[in-house]
Amino acid sequence: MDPQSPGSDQFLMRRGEWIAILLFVALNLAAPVAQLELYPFSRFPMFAGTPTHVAIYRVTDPSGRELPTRDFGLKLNSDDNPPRAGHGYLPPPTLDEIGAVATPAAVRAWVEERLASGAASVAFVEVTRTVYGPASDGSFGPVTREAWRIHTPPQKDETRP
Amino acid sequence: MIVMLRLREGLVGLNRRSPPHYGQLLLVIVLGFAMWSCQSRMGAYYRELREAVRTGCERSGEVATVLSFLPYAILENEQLLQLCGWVFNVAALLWLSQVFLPWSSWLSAASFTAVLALHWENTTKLSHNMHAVNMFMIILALWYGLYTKEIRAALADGRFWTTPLCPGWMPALCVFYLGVVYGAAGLAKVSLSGLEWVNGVSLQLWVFLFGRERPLAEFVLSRRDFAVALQAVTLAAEIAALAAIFWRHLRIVIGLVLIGFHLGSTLLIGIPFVANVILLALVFLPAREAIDGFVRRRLRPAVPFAGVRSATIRGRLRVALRSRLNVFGQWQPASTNCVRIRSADMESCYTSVPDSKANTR
Repeated sequence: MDPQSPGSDQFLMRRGEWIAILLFVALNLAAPVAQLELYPFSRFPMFAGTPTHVAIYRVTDPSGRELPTRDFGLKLNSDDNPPRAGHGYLPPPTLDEIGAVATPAAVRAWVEERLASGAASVAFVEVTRTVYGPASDGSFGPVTREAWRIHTPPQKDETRP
Repeated sequence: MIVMLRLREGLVGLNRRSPPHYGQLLLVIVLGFAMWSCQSRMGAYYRELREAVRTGCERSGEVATVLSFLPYAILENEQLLQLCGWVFNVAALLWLSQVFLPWSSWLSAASFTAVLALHWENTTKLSHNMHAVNMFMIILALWYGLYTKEIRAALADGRFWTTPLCPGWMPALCVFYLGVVYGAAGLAKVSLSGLEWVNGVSLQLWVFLFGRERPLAEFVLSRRDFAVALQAVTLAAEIAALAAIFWRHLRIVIGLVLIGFHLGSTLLIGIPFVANVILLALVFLPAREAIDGFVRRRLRPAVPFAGVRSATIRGRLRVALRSRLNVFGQWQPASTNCVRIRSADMESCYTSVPDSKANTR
């Protein structure tokens, strides 16, 4: 049936339709190439990484009461997207990122800094870390478990002569 | 030669128009999800979350959305987000009612984009579960914007559902967009991690973090070969989604696999992408052909008439309502001379046609 004859379902597209289609296609191809995240455009990079290990921290005070890991910068950042992409604010700083397991020295220094700035009014904290990762039998589970007692650094006496 | 033939078929398909049933179904589903998402972003939970972020976190300084060029004072204005939300709610209802076209469609698309963009500008984490809904809304708004004259004329004449108003390029753009979404996700994995991405360990890690209490989690956590298989199928389907844009039969297979992927990730990790599952089913599977076929079998032929006009508001509302609900043309005007009548006579102008299959050809 000829286009635009009565009863025909074939029509010739107008110039405006062609422009709209080409603009839509061009934007959806060009915008993600230019910028990783530019809502509503995106390169959809979620879960693109290959992390192999993750650490879970637990912090307790001298009496054994659990303290919020967030106060010590040890709360896991479980974001599966690339960092700093697609959101206007940064998450609270944390030492616990997926795929990155800090050295014991780094953990100690990090927690001491937070204790010094008043994260908790205690003499020391017990920090326990369990690292989960792949096992040789094809399973995924705990691979190491460590614990540290980290003391609050003494305040510097500013009036010392 | 085959490529040229396919290209010609594709171009013919873009030019084809069909009755608006499929497009309307997409519109209802997309606006339904959008309204639900908008309401939740405007609600107390996310409002308090944004407030906590504004007071307790640092700005990333990065471009995050299409609104990032605005000053921080505007981006951080909670009243602006709430206002955009209310504008969207009203505009979406008007669009669904086919009123104030094309402004209701454009305003819906723009305000919904603004609500989500303002939300992401005030959070510390991005989620991708409304990107497809947003872009589908833009496609539908393009349709309504470019076909306003035809749609309004069809509505005024009471033949909206019996007129070919849905252009072939509208579902084609939907196919293109979903193909690009999943293709981009697959390419992102390959470009960042290479084929090493298919190692099974990362899936086990995500299952451990987000879904170790869920059914089948134990099986995935103890069997790396199973995790590798799941990741391999996912990556292959995502990259093949780019080819599925051009190849109908592949699209059906890839659509089924991607739906399975979403159902699996909901089961294992608890990340719901309900909107994407439904859009994949409507766009990648042959839903449009099924709906067009169903409609063709039930649709009464359009009866051209001068249009029913009424002197009263009640009469006009009744005409408008019937026009919108006359989905299969089941109500036909009894006479071609029904013009300028009072509302009391409206019933005599519309009679319900008996459902006789003999009359439908």
